[in-house]
Amino acid sequence: MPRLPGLYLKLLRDLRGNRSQVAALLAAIVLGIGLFQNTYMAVENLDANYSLFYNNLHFADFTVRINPARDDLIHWVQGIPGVSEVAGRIVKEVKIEQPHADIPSVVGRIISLPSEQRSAINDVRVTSGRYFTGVGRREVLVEGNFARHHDYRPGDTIYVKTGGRRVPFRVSGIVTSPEYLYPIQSKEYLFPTPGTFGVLFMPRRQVEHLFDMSGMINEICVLTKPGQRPRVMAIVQSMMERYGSHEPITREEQPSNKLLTLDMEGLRQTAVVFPMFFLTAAALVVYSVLSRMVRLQRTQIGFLRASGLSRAAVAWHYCLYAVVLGTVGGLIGTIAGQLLSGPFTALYLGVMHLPFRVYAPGLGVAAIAMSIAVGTSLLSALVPALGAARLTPAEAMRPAPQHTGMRLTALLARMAWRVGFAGKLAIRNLLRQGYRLLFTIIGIALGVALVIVSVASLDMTEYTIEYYFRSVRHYDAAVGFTRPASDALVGQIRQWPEVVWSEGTLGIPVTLSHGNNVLDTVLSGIPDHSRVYQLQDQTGQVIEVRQPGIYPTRGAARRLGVTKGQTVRLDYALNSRDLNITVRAPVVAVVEQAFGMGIYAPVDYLYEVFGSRLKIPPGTINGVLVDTKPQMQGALKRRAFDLPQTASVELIADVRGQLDRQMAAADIFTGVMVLFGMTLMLAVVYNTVSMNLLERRRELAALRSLGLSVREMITIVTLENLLAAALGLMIGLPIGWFFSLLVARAFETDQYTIMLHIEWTTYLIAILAVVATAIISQLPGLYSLSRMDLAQAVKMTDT
Amino acid sequence: MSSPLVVLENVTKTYMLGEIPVEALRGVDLELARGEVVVLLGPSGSGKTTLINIIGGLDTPTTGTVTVAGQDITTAREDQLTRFRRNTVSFIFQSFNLVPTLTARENVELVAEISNSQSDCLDLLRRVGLGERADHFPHQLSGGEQQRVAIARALAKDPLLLLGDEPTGNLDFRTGVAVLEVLREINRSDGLTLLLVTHNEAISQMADTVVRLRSGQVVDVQENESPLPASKIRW
Ligand SMILES: Nc1ncnc2c1ncn2[C@@H]1O[C@H](COP(=O)(O)OP(=O)(O)OP(=O)(O)O)[C@@H](O)[C@H]1O
Ligand SMILES: [Mg+2]
Repeated sequence: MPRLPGLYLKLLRDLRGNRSQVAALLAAIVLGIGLFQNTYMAVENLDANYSLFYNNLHFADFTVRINPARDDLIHWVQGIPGVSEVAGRIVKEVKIEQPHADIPSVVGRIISLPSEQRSAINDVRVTSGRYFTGVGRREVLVEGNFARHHDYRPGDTIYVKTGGRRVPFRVSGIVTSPEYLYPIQSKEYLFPTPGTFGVLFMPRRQVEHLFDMSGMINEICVLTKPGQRPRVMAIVQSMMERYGSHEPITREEQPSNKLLTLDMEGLRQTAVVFPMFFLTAAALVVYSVLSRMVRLQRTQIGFLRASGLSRAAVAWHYCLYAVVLGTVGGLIGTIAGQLLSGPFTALYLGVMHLPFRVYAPGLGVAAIAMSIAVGTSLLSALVPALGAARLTPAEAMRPAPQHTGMRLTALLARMAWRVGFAGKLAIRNLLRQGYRLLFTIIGIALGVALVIVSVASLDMTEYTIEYYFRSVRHYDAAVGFTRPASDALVGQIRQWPEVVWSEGTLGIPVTLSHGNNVLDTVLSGIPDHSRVYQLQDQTGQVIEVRQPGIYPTRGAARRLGVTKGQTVRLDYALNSRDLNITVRAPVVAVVEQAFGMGIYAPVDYLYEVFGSRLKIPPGTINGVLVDTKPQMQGALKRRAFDLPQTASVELIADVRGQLDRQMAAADIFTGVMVLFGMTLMLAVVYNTVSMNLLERRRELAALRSLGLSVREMITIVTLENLLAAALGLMIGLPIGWFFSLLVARAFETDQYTIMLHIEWTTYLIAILAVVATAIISQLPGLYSLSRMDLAQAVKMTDT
Repeated sequence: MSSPLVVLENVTKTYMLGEIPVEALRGVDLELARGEVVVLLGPSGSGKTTLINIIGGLDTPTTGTVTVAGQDITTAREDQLTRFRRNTVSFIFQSFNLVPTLTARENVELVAEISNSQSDCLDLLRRVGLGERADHFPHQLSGGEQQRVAIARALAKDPLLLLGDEPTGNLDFRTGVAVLEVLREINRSDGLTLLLVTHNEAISQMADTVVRLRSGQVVDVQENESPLPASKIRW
């Protein structure tokens, strides 16, 4: 049988001898690496599957909306060098009527698709039923999110209202579209609204006929050759200017894709941030286990050096423990993470109703994970290993010096005079332990912080959503109009039996610029003494929206790079040669708001700036916000749609439901995080507490042999651990808060601000969990101490 | 006669305990001849361990020179010292210092590996009377047996000089004598130079030379005309 060299044998047996510590250590590494591997791979898989889906359906590089024009226009575009595909189509907003549904009329968008062959750009994938049969019947393909929400199936009839007519169509299939994976109406909408917004795909002929647009198009979709997009886009834009072209919408800006990208960014952050905490914990455990080993093996180190082992060899010997642990933990974590990432990806794609088609190559991520695992543990082993190497052999032969905090001990011992014998001993022991105490405290602090940061991420998401609905969306329904109306309507609506309160709004599309930063958004006018909006600044102070100027949300302010007191350039978004509105607007206050990049202003300011030019006299509104009586939202919605000018009715309950669904996947993830955090806390706290007890076996046995009863011993050890826990908590609570701040900042995007908010119950949970773990962790050690043969224990040598 | 194996000239060692200097050795001159059994006697704190550590290259003197087998180890670099420790001297300790996670044989093999020697480890264990216990762990062996493993281990590198710091300090009389017998036997057969540190007067009866240390100074060096066999020693 081949024989391992002696030092490797020693290493293996040392590891086996420290089984529980090694297990806790491996757990920490496996958790951290597994989490990283799983999440990162899941994101890569998602990315690969979205890309595949986009490629298969030829998701456009950009689209341009134009005024209706002849469709031979696209041949010009086809001729631009760098263009690989062009498609023209008709896109029209209509109403979808559902007389028997609980929402009788919702916003529909009809998009034309080629009648004869499949579209070369922005094609759809049929998930049930079939593509157009082409046999002259009126048929539609219904976008899946809307179809699922309202339960449309192939063969059903769907009613479209346009130009005062109600036209029935037969649903021939349900489809998924690259543009509507998240069914978002336009970029002003932050969330999908499948309940009130549906996309219908129709054969081109049928659409032309329906809208009397024979041979016309009003939107152009373009696919470019690699790297050609900016140039092509500029040419197309100038070419289309005389057709009243809008700003092209690029693939990145496309609302559905943008939300998907944000999703993945969030996951990527998670993949990095949380494992970072876990690996920090792992590093600490590696450090403490190895320092302890080096301390206990002083005489062995002395002997090895006396036998002629070099310093470097000693250092390497202890580094090797870390390499072994890092490799084993890293491998398990990587493999587990790889295996988990499959189902995890499938789960996520399932939410998007996309099939799981391809796995992203995982070798690169696995290599990164392995180097992180080995690197982290090697790095944390360096200090103890070098310490071992630095020991001179003569020094190593002598028993380790005791670190002491003598003066402090004396002081505290005097203070503890009244605590009695056990208390005094506990405090004295605690302080005499020096490094051991430090490890226990740090272990507990880290445990607390881990629990807090994981539970706090739940708190913060919940609070952020809660805050959003309390401060900015503090109403039950928003009714949007197709054209400006008089605010007499507000009074009229307030008389409706379902309504408690109503308030007019005015939204005007604008472009804001500050230096090189540009932001397209909607400026929302807020009436004086609004009861619906309760805007607050970052300190929680309520903002009075009265002073003329703009009130950007934090996201918008960040995008523009402005702070309170500065001014920005404000342009009407639909500026043209004949109509040009530009002013410099002061930033009055920055609004703390979780979602979106909206900008608020006093409605009177809007009248002042835009009133005469856009012919919107004071009192003009284009929407109404409503507070309803309980359970009356449905009724309100029906009544609102009876108004001729109603374009949309958005119920906050629906928005919230949608948001909650949106968060569901993220919540699964956070739940996993809490589980991981708790497990890791267990590992860390168990490790430090049990290790501490183990190291003190002899000392406690000696005390026992001097007449200390088991009861007293338990009291002393428990008191010690509680004191250490108290110190650990004092450090851990702020660290947990700080970690949470890091998480909140890390997850912040343009669209999404996470508010730092931790419930006191979270702190309580963390404290209780950690203290309970600390107390439970000491039990096995205490039990064996109480049953120990004293004679043997006092002469026991350390191993 | 050939040149002495170990030569110490005016060796001093001063430890600093914070601000306070502790003079462990105060000008030691000493020569050890090849093949001798030397017993170093002295009360606790007299500097015995300090001296033996310096001779073994574990510690460096504050002043003075130490030459072992013609090599001046006081001016040696770290890598030269490592080689010296690997090839020239061996230690046995009062507390045995076996690697607790390795068996008797593995302990011996470990040292053979470090010093790159071709010694037959099992044979070494047989020589100290432990051929049957080769696969036992230290905690399964008695103190005397552990010390004999330590001796076998010390021999694995085939050293010129064997240093023993209170090798019988943790052993009872009978076991202690057995260990001394093994040491004497090895000295005879291999011509190995032996320096044993002890505060046990009786052990000096088996020595060729007895050196007495007091307060860091050599106070007496005595040649022993007719050393007793180890088995005849009583204490
Ligand atoms: N690292 C050190 N730091 C400070 N003083 C030391 C150190 N090592 C030894 N001493 C002191 O040097 C003196 C000699 O110590 P040494 O260990 O050599 O004595 P010893 O003769 O071996 O004693 P014993 O028989 O008790 O083992 C003692 O006074 C001791 O306190
Ligand atoms: Mg000594």
